Amino acid sequence: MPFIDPWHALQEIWWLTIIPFSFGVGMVYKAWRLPDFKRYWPEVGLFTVQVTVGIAGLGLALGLIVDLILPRA
Amino acid sequence: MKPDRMLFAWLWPGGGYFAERRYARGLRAMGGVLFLYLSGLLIGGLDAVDRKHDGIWFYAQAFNGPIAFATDFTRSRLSSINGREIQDISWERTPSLGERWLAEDPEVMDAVRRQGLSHVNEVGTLFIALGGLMNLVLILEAGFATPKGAV
Repeated sequence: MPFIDPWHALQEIWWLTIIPFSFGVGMVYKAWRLPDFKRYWPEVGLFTVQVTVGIAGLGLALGLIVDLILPRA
Repeated sequence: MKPDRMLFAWLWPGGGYFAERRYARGLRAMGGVLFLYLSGLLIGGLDAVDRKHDGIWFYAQAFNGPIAFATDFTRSRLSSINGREIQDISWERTPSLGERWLAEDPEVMDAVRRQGLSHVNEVGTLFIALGGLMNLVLILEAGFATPKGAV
């Protein structure tokens, strides 16, 4: 049952949850930070993309270090 | 410092803004915190909020307000067998429970099914904890900041 039982189907694609994660943080952050809300949703969208790409980039860089660089060092 | 505004902000996400009649900002802040909270529940189930067994995480989750305590209370009730939470039961010392599990007793199977495992438990817990920390920012804003704009 949703919201009661865990959604175990996400076990293999848990990393995709970074997208709603960034979106939710963006909603709160922009609600707190913006002086007015004329561009609220575009700002939330931009924040979501920036955080998602940033975290994915950090993950990729860490993966390259662990899987490619360190084994050859 | 405005302790009443801080209390409103803790009682319900965005409540500090509502108390100042800044409804547009309050609705957006509330939407964000509740989005994180409900997403965490959807991913991790009720087991994503566990005051007894994930105590340190609950310190952050408690900033979501009374909804976190209500969720923890509901979890403890729905994850109990014979009045004891499933995580506190020793299956080795209670062979009768093991037999009920093998016989697929609905009460035991429901409690077992509600236990979050691995990534979904971690991610669900993290969503709700981060929602709590974002709400902490709103609580501090309600208590110490001076409104600058009309919204």
